[in-house]
Amino acid sequence: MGFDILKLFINRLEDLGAKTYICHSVEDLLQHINDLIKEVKTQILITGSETEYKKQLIERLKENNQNIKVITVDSATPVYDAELSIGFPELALANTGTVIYRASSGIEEASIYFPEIHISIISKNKILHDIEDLESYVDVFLRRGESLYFITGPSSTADIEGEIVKGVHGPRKFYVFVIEW
Amino acid sequence: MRLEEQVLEKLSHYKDNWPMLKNNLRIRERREKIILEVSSELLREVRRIKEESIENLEQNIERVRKALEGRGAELKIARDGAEASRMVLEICKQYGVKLVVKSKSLTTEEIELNKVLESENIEVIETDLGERIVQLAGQKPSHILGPAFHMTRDEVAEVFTKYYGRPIPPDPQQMVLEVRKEFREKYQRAGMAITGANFIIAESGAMVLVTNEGNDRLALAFAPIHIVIAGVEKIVSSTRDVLKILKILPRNATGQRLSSYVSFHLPNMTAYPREAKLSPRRTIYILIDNGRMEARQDREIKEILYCIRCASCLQVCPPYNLVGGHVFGYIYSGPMGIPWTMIAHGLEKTYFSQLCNTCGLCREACPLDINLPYINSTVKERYGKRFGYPSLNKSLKRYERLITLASRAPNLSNKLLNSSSARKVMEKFIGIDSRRPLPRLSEKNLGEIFTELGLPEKGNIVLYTDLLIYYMYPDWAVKAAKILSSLGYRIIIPSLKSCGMPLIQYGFMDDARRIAGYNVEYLYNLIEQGYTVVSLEPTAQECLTNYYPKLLASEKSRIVAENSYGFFEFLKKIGWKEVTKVLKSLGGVHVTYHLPCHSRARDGSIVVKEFLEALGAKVYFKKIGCCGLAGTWGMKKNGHGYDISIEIGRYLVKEYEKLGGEFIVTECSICLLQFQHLSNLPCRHPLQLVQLASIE
Repeated sequence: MGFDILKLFINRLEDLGAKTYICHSVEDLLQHINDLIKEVKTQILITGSETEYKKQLIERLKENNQNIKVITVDSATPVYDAELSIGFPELALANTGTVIYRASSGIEEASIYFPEIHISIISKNKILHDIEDLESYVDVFLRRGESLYFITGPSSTADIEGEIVKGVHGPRKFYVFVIEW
Repeated sequence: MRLEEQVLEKLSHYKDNWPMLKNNLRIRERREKIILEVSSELLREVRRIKEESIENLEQNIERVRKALEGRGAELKIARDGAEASRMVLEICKQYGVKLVVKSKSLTTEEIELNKVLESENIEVIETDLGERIVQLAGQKPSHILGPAFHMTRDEVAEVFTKYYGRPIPPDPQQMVLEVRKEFREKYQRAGMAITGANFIIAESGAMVLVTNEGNDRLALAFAPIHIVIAGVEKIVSSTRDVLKILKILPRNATGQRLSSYVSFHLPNMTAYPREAKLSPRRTIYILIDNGRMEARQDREIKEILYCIRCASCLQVCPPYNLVGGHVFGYIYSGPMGIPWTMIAHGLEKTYFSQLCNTCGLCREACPLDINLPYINSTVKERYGKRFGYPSLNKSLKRYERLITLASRAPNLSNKLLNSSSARKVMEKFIGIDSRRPLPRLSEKNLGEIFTELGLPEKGNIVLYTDLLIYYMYPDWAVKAAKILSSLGYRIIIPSLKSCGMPLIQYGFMDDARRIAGYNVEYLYNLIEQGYTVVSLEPTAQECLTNYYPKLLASEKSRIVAENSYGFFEFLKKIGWKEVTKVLKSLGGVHVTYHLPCHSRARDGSIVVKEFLEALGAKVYFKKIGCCGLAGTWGMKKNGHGYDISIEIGRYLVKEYEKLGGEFIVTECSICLLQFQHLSNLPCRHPLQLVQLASIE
């Protein structure tokens, strides 16, 4: 997993209209997220795989944002009006600028796609080069009964006169933070 | 309304504002930038994956059934659309579903499901933006990926203004926002989600969805019941197969490396309905036969089942891009729509196949190398044999006889062709539009000129010219023969029949087979004697290499195809270095080059461009597509051919005239006719530009 893959991943995402940040510490990550959640008035949804920095991040977000509910979506709490969600994907693909989530319930799906803004946080060592490198991974998830969701840039359409419009049904804004520490 | 009237209506509606064409050109531009990332090995592998999937379909259906049962879901097989719709309706009634959200709806369009549900007062919401637009407009999709590609933003704004009951500006951003706001609530309230599937994986039962908007994801997140409606041919054996196909599908479909949303979706998810407790979602796959299993046994059209619905063929189809899928289609539209309509909706609905001009660009664009032009001619043949061939096509079937007859008295024939009253008579009785200029017959045909020149009776090259060059432009063949002679080859002119493309084009396949049989036998005997076949007309070469082997399926036709070259392709084989030694330089000449649809060098290169550049010419080139004339197709009167042919050509000429060449150059006599009719620039065959170095 070298420098080139990260560079490719970032370039592809930027080309797709996603904002990217490379973070070197939890502090760094938190600072970037704080900038993005300033406008959030209701609640923040957290979804995706369990990692050490996920736990730390949730704690810090709760401490710092007493007025906002920070909800992990493995509960059955209604979360219909969330403006922002933060996800921890299982894998990413550099050459396509893709993040990949697993989910086993509609609540997890909705938390990725329903809010206006979605932030994906992924560790650099989870970035694969391209789709063929997934061969050995996809079936592992499917056998466990987990579906996989690939996201490549913001939701978009070109249905009216071919003009590309971002944010049709899924998130209108899409951020990817790569953890490199 | 008759087909030709529909054509004229669309042409006048869209005059100079071709939304479908513009949309498809935008996609092509994006596609061409990244399509080179896909190797030909991968394309062949994907073709093999689809071949095997169709071969093993019965076993794969059972594998899907088993996988789904293991996950608490159900598989139903519907023989036809009506049965599938009944199944959905029964499920709706059983669970009291009042609102259905749909996504990836092409197959449900095929079975016209919405009508059935709506007739039982079930509200159906198409959640894909384009699908929603045509749903609100009361139309069918006109493109399999961009259902509303035929509409302008003003037309779309009118639809939304009427629906929302307040003015909606013709701004795509604004319109998208309106739909987004409205749908958030619909997703949460729907009692059922119905989706199609891009693929179904036999080993796991997972369905794979590929979208850009994310509508499928939201529809599925909330719905307590999920029905998957897909054709049986969507099943592939393994996850690995899907990953391979995903490398080529978005690149070809929309020019993306991957679509925004791809999901591998298992049916054991928990639903997330607003007003209910979390509950296991009920999932039912309804796989539709609707003619597919029969098509699987049909040798001539079977390969259309390998289609991955990327719509590459729609992007390049010249008549489709002007009139759109409501005219060039039934529910499935464009080139792939012809066989799919036959399969799913019956031969009687395929009359629109008359709009296919057999340019063959669809085959070139198809990543799975499906021989669409041949398949489409087969559909035309079946239609003709069952319901009768269109009378115009029957009359033009005699083209070879008409030209040879006229060539017996070339001066008289030329006078007649110049007389407007004679042209009116021709229009009435033969069907050739009187506005279409026709080429003049040469006083002497090529055979006569060759005899006079005393060229050898034996040699090592058969120069095949086809009809137009033989009777109208023999000088080009003479020049070609002299070039080859000066490169050390001995040329003979064969007594072949015309290549038969008009017969193939109109689906007179038995007649085409007879001609192919004659020509192949003739050429095979010469090849046995050591000759190589060189065709001067790209269309003749296309017949020898593509159509004859399909028509005859014989070893001889294969050998003829292998030993036949386009004239310029053959020069390239000799080597530009050698060729340029015998020709004068074209230094300082600026030309705009048009690539004829049937010019296909084996190595994929654009050989005439290389030829002209090797001689020092400055060549301007933009790959747009077909000139629009396509032999006799664009000569047919009014909406049958002429008017649409002219509009296709006008667009091209407008673009070409901007490029900067002093001439338009192309190696196809038919394309030249079209450009001479439509362009202000002089139009030349490359052989008219070049001169032998030895002739000072």
